[in-house]
Amino acid sequence: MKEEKLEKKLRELKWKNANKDEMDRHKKAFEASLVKYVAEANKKENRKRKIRFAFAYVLVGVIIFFSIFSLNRYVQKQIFYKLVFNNPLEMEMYDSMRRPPQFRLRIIKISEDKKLGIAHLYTNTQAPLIVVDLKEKKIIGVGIPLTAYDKRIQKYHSKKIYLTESEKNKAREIALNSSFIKRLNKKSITVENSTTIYMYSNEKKLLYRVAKLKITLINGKVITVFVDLSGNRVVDITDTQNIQGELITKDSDIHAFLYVFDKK
Amino acid sequence: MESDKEILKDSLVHPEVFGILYERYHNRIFSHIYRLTQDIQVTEDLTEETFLKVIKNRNRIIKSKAPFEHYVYRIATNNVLHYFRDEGRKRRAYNKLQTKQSIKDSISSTDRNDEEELIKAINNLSEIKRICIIMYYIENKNIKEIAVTLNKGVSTISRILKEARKDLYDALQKKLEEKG
Repeated sequence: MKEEKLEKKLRELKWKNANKDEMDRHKKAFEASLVKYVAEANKKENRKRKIRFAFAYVLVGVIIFFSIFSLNRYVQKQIFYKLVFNNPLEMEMYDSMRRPPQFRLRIIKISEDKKLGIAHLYTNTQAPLIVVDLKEKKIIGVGIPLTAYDKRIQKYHSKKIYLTESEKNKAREIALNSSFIKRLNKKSITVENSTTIYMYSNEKKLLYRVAKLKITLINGKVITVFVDLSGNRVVDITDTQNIQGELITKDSDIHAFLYVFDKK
Repeated sequence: MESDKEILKDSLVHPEVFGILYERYHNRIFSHIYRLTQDIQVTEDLTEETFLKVIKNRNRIIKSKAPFEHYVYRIATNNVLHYFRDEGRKRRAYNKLQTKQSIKDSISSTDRNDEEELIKAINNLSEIKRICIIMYYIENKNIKEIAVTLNKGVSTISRILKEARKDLYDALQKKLEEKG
């Protein structure tokens, strides 16, 4: 058989086709169940679409929330950077902040205490905590978080002394003149006689005669204010209710010492 | 007259509209599958499966640029191919037992005419070659249409057809030699 002949045979081949009756019978039999199936498929599709839309809305919501949150944090960080770098004198007071010029200060974490109106800026320095007065946009303290205190408290010693009434009044006056304390909604202020301390450090040749004041705020929070009577200034403010300690001090070592002392 | 895709789109809201498409394509798809399988029961099953797959993939078909007809034929032909593959596996196991008998049959059937021999040779081709031969010579589809339906290139289909013709030619030559 030649190939051309095969081609011709294939073209003329009588192939068995489907029987018309069988085809119609199947068409009718399947039609009814097909429409039902389409209706079911539509229901499923609608359900899927609803879930997809709900998921999309939730996703968009989450994205918007995080975008706003991140933007807010970014703006806040920029303000704090400006604040930190505009206060070089404040910063130079602390050894841990003195770094080579190429060192770049970075704010790693910000935690706010809206009741006290302060923010803690955690930075990449040795004394990583900067405390900022949110209302006045002022640095009110630089120090270390309380978890690192224990190593440093041996540097200071104290002994109990008793304050005269005039010294108590002076301590109260100094505390009340502090812009930060002025702003707090205070319920009561007490100057504790028995815990007045005399503090010295051979290393730094510090000599403080310190008064301890307990300030109860309207919301029930109690903060301790340490006032240096010889220097006429607030040495430290600690918040005992916060695990991290509300560190508002000019000297992290002294703060560490006073914090532990306050706990005793 | 509404296009196939418009009807398909409408069927997402009004299920009964799908009946129009079913009316348009049922006989064509049924005949196509029957030509490929030559089995009424299998044809019925595969036709139903084809329409169910169309319903399942409506969104994809609506979005695509290709005409609806191509999709239906592609789904139907793929169903047939899957069926052949499944059957092929079963048949291979069965054929091991039947080979000797079938050889005897084929040799003894000297009274069969050429057309029967040709049909037998076509049925002995591989699935893809058989489908191409039937679509090209029986259904009179051109190579481009077959390529679209089988989702393959035009040159691939040309090559398959050429190989299929050669296989058929060889098989028929062999039969002639056997007949002496």
